[in-house]
Amino acid sequence: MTRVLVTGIGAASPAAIGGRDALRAAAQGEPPRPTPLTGFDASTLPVQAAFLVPGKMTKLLKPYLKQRKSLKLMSQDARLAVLAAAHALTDAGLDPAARDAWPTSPRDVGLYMGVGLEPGEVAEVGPALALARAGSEARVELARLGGEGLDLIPPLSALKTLPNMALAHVSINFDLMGPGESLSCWSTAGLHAFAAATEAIERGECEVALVGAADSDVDFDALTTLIRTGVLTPLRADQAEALELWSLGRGWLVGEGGAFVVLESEAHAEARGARPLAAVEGGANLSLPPMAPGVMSSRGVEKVLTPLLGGARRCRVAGAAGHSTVWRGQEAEGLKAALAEAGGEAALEYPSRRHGACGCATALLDLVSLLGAEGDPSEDVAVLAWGPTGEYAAARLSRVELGGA
Amino acid sequence: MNDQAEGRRRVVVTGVGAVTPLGLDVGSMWSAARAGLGAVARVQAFDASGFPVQIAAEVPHREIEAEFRLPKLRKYADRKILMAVRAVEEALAQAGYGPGEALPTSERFGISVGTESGRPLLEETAAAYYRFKDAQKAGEDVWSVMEEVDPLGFVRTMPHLTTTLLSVMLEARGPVFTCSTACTSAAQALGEAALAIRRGSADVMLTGGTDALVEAFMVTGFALLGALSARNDDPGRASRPFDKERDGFVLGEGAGFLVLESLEHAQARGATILGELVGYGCSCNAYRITDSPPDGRGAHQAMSWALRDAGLAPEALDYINAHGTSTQMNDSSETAGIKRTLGEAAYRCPVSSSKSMMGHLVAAGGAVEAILCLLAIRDGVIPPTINYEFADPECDLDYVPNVAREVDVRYAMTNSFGFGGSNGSLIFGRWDGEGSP
Repeated sequence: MTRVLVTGIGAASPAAIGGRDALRAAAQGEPPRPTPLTGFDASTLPVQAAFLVPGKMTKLLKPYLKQRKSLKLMSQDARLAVLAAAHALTDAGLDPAARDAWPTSPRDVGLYMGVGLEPGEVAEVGPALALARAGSEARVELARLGGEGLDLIPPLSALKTLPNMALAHVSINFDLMGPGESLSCWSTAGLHAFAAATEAIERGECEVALVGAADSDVDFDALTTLIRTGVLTPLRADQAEALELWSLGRGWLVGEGGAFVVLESEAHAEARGARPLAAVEGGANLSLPPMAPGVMSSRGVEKVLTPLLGGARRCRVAGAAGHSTVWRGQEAEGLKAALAEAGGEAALEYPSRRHGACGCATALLDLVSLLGAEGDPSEDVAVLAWGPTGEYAAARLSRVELGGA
Repeated sequence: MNDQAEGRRRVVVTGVGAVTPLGLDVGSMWSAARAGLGAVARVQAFDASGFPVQIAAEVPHREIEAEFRLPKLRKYADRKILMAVRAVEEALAQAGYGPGEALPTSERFGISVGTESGRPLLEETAAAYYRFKDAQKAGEDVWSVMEEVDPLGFVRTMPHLTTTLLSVMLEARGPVFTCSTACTSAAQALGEAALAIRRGSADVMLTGGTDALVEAFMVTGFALLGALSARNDDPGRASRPFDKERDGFVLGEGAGFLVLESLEHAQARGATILGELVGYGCSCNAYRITDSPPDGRGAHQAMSWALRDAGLAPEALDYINAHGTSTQMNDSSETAGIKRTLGEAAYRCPVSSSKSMMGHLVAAGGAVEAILCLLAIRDGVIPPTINYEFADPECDLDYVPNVAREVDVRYAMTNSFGFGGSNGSLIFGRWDGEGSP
């Protein structure tokens, strides 16, 4: 079986923008604080701040875009994806600007992404809807919308709602033509993509694969729908209080971010003198319908972790339920049961405190946070992801000493 | 078969189900496809009279219904899920997993679906938008307006909702995947399902795709891209893949599902095997968001990898069910990709596009077209490309024009290529009994 290594990590998150050095610095520093939402008038909402990626996207992305005008075609999750992917490639020693010098042509590099909900369409079709409004009634005259209204709608607005657009922008900007898939499954999507990419390397479809996820749920549509589900911590003026609520497990602080890792066959990494961080030891993915939507089960945690923990060294596990004391308890119980069956030693931690709930990107942000932080080489790391409709996924990796394959 | 293919678990198909513009089950779809009937007509779903594009290929019944094994889940279902559940029940029944029959062992049974985000109707979105704007203008509490929004609306937008509902309804507790790769979604879902069986994560995978995009926002969006045919006065001749006078695709809708099993599992329970999934390949174009590369490079890569995965030489293919959308760009690019992959053999391999009859089923397309490949293999009949009148020098292969053809098909490939440059190819082989093909 081909051994698969992580040779590069990159993040575009509220805590860090960059590769392993930026992530290590972030792990050693103070956690970021939520910042006020400015993209729309949030003054009447119970959530008025979020974990946002700092800096101007135009400036951050400029070195990596083939065409600057393509920014207009990109939703925020696509922008975060391109930025995080660029840093992961750089971290792996694959300079995005010098693709001709890569030992493997980018045409043979795989690309797998976890994707989440798509940006709302209301903002872009708003002017057309206003034009087509039937007097003061809350309804639209479709015939008018399809006629005069068309001129007011950006031609590519429909494409922005297709979940694979982030993958398309990463592929285009870095010339990646290898096997590629875009997988969706709420918070577990990133780990589904991670597993698919690992398998593509194991099957010999590619020697190198870029795998990642990016999400931004801080636009009006996404935020209001999340508020309606009741999973968010109320966050108005007192940010310190909100952080305290989070630490007490009283709900999520919403965020945005992207995370990518470069996976590589051991032989390829060795041949090019890569600096690996970890080796993939295994992954699991299953469905266990919840008692009710949004309820985590210790049984699901146990089932997904048991096959991964067998024979493992001591393991740091990034948990999926940092936002709820009840679910933290379920998670701890599930881990305990898995350890009882599989043996070994493991402890839960919650790196998501540093970047908030970033939808499908959360698990991979957890992973790059763990891999980027100072760690004991004798410890493994694992990441657990959970979807509120009963999906569980996990991956385990062993650390590889820096400085050579 | 290559070394890689020899040592692995084999994946066979034991059930198929479909809801398409050509019919509400596989039998009616296949009869219509063999007869070369078209399903494109004026849009029924909404008043499209003011739109530049007023035609689509819709599933015949606007009020489609489906029996839910867990009726309480019905409230989550939108049109695409209703179509999916119908197709799933047909596939399960054929595989011997119908209502009243034992389902596969829960932990060894997984679900893999190709689909897109659920979308509220533009009319509903617009109404909420107006109420929000009015409240903002009047200085009222905007949040009280949002309280009116149905919280289930959020759940319905999740791309993986179909997968989740099927998993709950069928007690499938094995691997779950949702591929959302535009027009390639279902092909990649089938590919992931086959890989799950090969690596031993599951014995049985229910897999397929579903989509229902015939609504005002998507018709508007694709029309603005110039991707849709605007032959409003002649809908029956609008979808004309590979024809010189093609002017865009026709939006369709539907669902297709297959039951995949490991060979040993199917044989152990005495299931009827419809065919074998022997090869899968996927790739990215890295070209442009809306355009296909003229040299067909991404398509070539996906087809080549599917052939390599199957351990087959290009000459072994007896039929290609093309992506064949009826856009100028796709059809010439796909033709270039086929020629690059098959070489001279491309001119001897029949290629047809079922989108000429049922329009473009987008995320469901790959699954329905996979079923057509299996039926072509079973019956030795290749469905035609209808509306083919004028030869295009850039599309110079044998497109099985207008009339179905009897051909002995041992291996058939289906292609799916999505907006943004995501590609997937699947190869199916005939099952003649033990040790076949």
